[in-house]
This record gives sequence, C-alpha cells and structure tokens, in this order.
Amino acid sequence: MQWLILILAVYVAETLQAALDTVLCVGNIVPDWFVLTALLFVLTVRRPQPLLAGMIVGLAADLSAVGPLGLSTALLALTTLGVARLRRKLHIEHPASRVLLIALATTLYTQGIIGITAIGPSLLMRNTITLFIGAIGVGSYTAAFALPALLIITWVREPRRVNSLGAAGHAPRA
Amino acid sequence: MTSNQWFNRCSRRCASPSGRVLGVLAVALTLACLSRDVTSQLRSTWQNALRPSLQLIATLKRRTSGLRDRWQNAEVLSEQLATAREQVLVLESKNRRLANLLRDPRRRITVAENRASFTATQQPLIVSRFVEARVLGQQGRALLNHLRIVDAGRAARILPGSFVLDGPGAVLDLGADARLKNGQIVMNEDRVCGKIVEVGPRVSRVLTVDATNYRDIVRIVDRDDPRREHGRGMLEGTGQGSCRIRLVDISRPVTVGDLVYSAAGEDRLPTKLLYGQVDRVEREPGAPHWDISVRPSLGARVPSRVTVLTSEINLVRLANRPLKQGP
Repeated sequence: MQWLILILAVYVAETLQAALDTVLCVGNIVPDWFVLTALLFVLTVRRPQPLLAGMIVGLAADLSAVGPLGLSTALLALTTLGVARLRRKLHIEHPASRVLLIALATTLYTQGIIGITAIGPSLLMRNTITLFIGAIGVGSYTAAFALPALLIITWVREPRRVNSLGAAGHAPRA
Repeated sequence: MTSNQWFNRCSRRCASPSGRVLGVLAVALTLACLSRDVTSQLRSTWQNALRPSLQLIATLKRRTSGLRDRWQNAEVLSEQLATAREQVLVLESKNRRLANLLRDPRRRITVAENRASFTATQQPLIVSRFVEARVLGQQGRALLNHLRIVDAGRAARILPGSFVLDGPGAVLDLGADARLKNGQIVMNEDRVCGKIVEVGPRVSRVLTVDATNYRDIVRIVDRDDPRREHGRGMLEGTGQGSCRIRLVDISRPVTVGDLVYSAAGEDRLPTKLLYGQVDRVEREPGAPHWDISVRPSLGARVPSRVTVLTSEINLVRLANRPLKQGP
C-alpha cells in the first residue's frame, strides 16, 4: 500500500513541478518536489525502505530532467538512506526537527547534483559559492513546503494511530 | 568452497547495508550507461504518462486566468469607485458653495437665466396657457353699457369692445389685454363651455356649445374604455340646449352613452376636453351618416368662472438662439 502511495505521490510531485515552477520561482530558486516527496515518505512511514524509495523517486526525477539517467537515482537513494538512519538514531519525531532535517538533506542533495553536473575546468570558486547559496535556497524553500505537508500528514494519520492503540488495549497518549 | 556456499555468502553481502548501497550504485551506473535511444524512449513514456495531469493543469490555468482577470477588473473597479467617491466629495463641497452663492439674490437671477437657457431646447415650441376669466353677469353688462355711453360722448364716441356686449352668449372680463383670440376654447374643469368668437380690448364674447353657429371637430369614445374611439365628426349647436354630431359614418359603432371629446388640443393637453354624452343615435333610411344627439356636460348655462385655453409659441424657445453652424 505504501508503495502505491509513493508512486501516486511521485506522480503528483511531477505534476506540481511542471505546473508551479513558474508560479513559485523566486530568483531562479524553486522547491524540489521530488526530494520533498522522498523525504516525507521516509520520515512518516513506519518501516520505510529508504534506498528503494529514493531510487524510485530519483528515477522519476531523472526521467523529468534532461541530464543522464542514474544521477538523481543514486544521490536521492543515498540521501534518503542517511535521513532514515538519522531519524532512527536521533528519534526525530517533532515536526520542527523534521523540517530542519529536510532542509539539510535537500541542500546536500542539491549541492551534490550541482557539484557533479557543473564539475569541470570552468568551475570557479565564485561559481561554487553561488551554487552553494542556491542549494541552500532550494533546501530552505523546499523545507518551507515540508512543514504544512508534515502537519497535514500528522493530522490525517492521528485518528488511525489512536484507534490502533485503543484496539490494542493501550491508553492513547495525550 | 561449493557453489552453494558461495551463493549464500553473496546473498548475505547483498542484504547488508553496504551491499544495498553498492546495489543502488550499480543500478545508477547501469542507468547512466543506457544508450540515448533507450533513455529518450523511457522519457517519452514517462511524459505520456504525465500528459493527463498536465492537461488538467492547463485547463485549471485557463480557468484561473479568467478568475484572475475578474479579480484585476474588480481591483480596477474598486479604484474607480474610490475615485468616484472622491469626486462626490468634491462635488458636494461645490454644491455647498453654490448653495451659499444662491443666497445672494443677484446671483440667483444669473443662475436662473443659465438654467432657463439650458432647458430651453427641452421645452415644446407651442405651449398651452390657461387664462382664468370671470363671466360678466347682467349687472356687469349694465355697468359697461353705462360706461360706453359716457366714453363715447367724451372721446371718440366709440368705446373699443362695445360690440361684445351685444348678441347672444356669455361675456368674459378679459379680452385682448389677456391675449385672447377668436376660436379659443372656453372651459370649466375639463368640460367645454364654448368658444370665443369676438374679442375686445378688455372683454370678449363666448359662443356656447349649444348655440346655432357653434362648430367643432369632436371624437366619440367608448364610455367604458376611453381608449376605444368610435369615430370623429362635426359637432354643431342646435340652439335648443343640445348639440348634434354630423359626418360620422354608419359603419362606426356609436352607441348611446358614448362620451364626446374635443379633438382640438389633444396633442398638447394633458387631459381631454369633454363636450358631453351621446343621448340619441338615429339614422335616416339610406343616409350614409349617423344622426347623433349630444347632451352637453355643462348644459346651456355658463359657469361664473371659466378658463380660456390659449396656444402660443414658447418664448423661451424663441429666446434661445440656435448654435452657429460651421461653414
């Protein structure tokens, strides 16, 4: 079921990417809906398989882009794997900390994509700084959309969680 | 090492995290090594799968663009409304200032002249005027007869207007001094008394509707529905306290009780002038017209106070000079 939801989410992300790019563009910076989808999946699903989820979403991102295939697939799989491990080790459950993690992960992913595609003799230090600032912008912008998405997901899943706890004989947490 | 052991070791390595990462990298490398044709084929398939949602987005964009235009129009209208409100405030202040100026009588006259010239072209060229007049009784006639004798002996021997005192009909105390003329209708509360037949400088004589020489064009309308006209004809006095209508074709549905109105002034008067009511309708054998008898609404008498209907050219229109045309 969760994989079907992920595929639908990828479809919606691609649609949003195509529809809202011109509307949400702020100084050539747009939110990365694919990364947001993958990270939300990893951060909200109970037992995610981050590598597979990142590969699926990354493949969709590769198919939507014009560069070579495989780049987003590998980078997003590694990113989601890192985020899932951090979540498990640090018990990141609060929405604010999740948003910070999404911002950091998106920045690193974007930096990786930019660093690999722009590497070459013409890459200067000034360009590197500009691209790094751009990656931070993409990460922050994407994290800004992550907060309402996380709140909506929590709001949708809360009654189901309470019902499952009540059926198991546990008192629901306040 | 048997082949079975080698397979088990490989399976354990692939299930470990590092093995999974290596697997992902291998898949990514495989994808990167795909040929351009395969890549473009995959991308076109993916784009085809996305086409319905993109079409939906395009439709939504078209719809929302209409809404956005409406929203912008609403903003423009709100700005125009704000501007209009400011103009209203300015005009209200101007109105207050003008009202203060109008308190000065001299300025009031100037404003009235300007207003009259502005509305002159909206007025009709020929207007009706109602002149109130009194009917002279026997004592008044006697007094004027006495004056006539005195004035005639004193000056020109003939007093202007003396002829109005002789002959049948009523005498009004207004004449040429009130701009009365021959043929003007004399009435009382929308009912016709007669016509002015002779005008003097100060008095005038009225020929009542039942007089022998009285004639006028009349309309015969239905008693219940005044909008239905049954015919037009010539009303004549009989000299016996009643009138008759001639020249009404027998094809017209005239019946007893129909109302008879004057056709004069119907185009410029707000009300119709009533002569009377049809009390008899007959037809001679072989005659082409009805013989209609009318009972006058005022009878043979003339009220003491009457109104003379006059028509004259609107002086306001004459005073208003037409604009000069170009060469």
